Amino acid sequence: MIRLDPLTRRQFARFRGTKRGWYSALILMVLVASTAVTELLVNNRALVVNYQGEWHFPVYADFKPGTTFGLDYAYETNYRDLKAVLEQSGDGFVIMPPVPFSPFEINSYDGQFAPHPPNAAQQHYLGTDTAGRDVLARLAYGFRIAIWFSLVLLVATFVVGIAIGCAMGYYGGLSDLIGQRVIEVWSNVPMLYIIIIIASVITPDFWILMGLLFIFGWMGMTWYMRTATYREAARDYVLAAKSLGASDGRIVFRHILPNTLSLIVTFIPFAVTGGIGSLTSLDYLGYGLPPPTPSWGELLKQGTDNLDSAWIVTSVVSALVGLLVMVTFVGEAIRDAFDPKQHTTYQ
Amino acid sequence: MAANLLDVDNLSVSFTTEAGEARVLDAVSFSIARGETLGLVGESGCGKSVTSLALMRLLPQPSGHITGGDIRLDGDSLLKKSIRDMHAIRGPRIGMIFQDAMTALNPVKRIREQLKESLTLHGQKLSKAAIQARCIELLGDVGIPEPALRLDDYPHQLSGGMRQRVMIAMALAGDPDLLIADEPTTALDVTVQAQILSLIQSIQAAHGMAVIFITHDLGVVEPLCQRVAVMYAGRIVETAPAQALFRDPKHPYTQGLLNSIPRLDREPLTPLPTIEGLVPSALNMPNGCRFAPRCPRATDRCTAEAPSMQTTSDRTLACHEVSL
Repeated sequence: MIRLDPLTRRQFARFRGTKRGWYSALILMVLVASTAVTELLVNNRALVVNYQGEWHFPVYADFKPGTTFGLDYAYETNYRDLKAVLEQSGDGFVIMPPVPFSPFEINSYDGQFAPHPPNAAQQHYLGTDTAGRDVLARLAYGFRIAIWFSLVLLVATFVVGIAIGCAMGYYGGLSDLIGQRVIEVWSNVPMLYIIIIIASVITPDFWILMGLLFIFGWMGMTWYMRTATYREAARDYVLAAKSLGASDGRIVFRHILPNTLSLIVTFIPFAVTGGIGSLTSLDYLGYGLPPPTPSWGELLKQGTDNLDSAWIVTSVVSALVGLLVMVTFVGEAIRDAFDPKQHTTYQ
Repeated sequence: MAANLLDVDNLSVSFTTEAGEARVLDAVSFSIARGETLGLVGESGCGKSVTSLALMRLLPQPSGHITGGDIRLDGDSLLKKSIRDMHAIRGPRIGMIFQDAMTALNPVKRIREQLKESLTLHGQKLSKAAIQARCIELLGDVGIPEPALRLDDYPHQLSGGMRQRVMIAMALAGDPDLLIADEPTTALDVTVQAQILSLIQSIQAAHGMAVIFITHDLGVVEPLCQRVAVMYAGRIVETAPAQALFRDPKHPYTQGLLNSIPRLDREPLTPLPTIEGLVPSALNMPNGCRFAPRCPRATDRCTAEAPSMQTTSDRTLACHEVSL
């Protein structure tokens, strides 16, 4: 058991005290953790198949042709059909995930044209998109990509932005002056055009897109860290640390950085929502991840193009707003809890 | 082997400002023997704190720089040392206590971490238990009750006097040969002041450190210091053994300072004597003696020509009109 000191406990208690932040954090933690097992929740492969006394776990296994289960085709088994077949014959049973569709699977129903409206009997809880792919499945896999994209982007931009911002603020003088001008020039490079140009030459994948957004996104943090470092470096405790013989790196990372923690923490939710927003808008414009990658932006595009199929736009907008609002609530609660300047105030 | 622990020799410091070059220290010389206490006394802005920062080579960058002279610790010039070597000197050789312990302790770090840093900064490998024991010992040495409990406190949880004690403990952690105390009691109330002063005295006795005690408060100098250097406008105008200085001040500025201390034995209802005028701006120093514009005994020579230092075995004086 980790020993928690009273202050950490108090911070945690204050975090929990902000109810909406705490519940948002719980929901987000569950959602993010669930991305590890999205395949078990949303998939067109069965979780468990018992066929003639034999057990199969197709989710994480290789593809199994229909002939494995006595069906008359050699392509991949349709487990939803298999379930109906086995229920009739009594040869075994199939347990499907709660949402038994893959995000890439095109579903067609006799006498209907996609998009299909929500239909609990068909297990399309949020309907399908214009190609007949299940909206909930696309949302779930799209969330997995968006949240991890945003978190990795967050770490990369913060590490670089904080390091450069601290260096400019701490050393000041010419390095600061030149660094600032370089960053100003770089900030004015129109990111969107660069991405459009690059997307027209190569098809961006997850890492290329991440790299592009990182190259044009690390500057944001330098402004705040630079001023925060300027402010902290003028404090007496920095001089005191110097008088003890501390090196520059030690002063920046051990003394100044912890004092700017509440600033950094305050920006984390903005960066997360910003990352999700960037990816979604690039996908919306068609310059993001290539189809058929499940993505909220692409779904949003379909939704706004087909407003008469209101379930698409409603689902994706609700998901997007819900996610961004929850992240913001968590950020607010964390900031309140961690703000070192609040330890002495009475609540 | 030099006889003195620290020799400051004609040290000059300038600050580059928008209005021009400000010569904040001009040919400041003094020395300290091992275990000695030197009081550095002067008005606000006379260069006391700049002197202490210059000794550590911690002048505010990029504006402050040493323009001349030398600082020798045990005969070794500190001005020729690399920054890396200076890191090794700050802490184990020269420690420093700051005026305002409120701001000189890192507000987001526990006392334990701050003390631990000063213990382990210079490459010493200590076990966790040894650090804990040494931290408690240090806090006990500076008179903090229940030191083991205080280790987990943050600075804001301590009173001003306690924080100053922690500052002293941090400076002591390196067991320095020279302790620079830059107005360590100015921010404290009088009773705590007395405790801190006697603490510094007893620590000095126990560790055999030399101490530079910087203050504008003449009242604390006499009991604490063996020798006193009086600074005025970036120059040292007089140095003398403490008792001799208080009994027989030579420089008109020193006399003025001592006269302007309120005394119980003064004639009641008479105005307190003050030194007329203001300290000259560092950007626009008088050519001759810098005290001449305010000096009751100034002559034409004083305004024209800077006095040279007169020295005897234990006193120095920079004045045309008075001789030792």
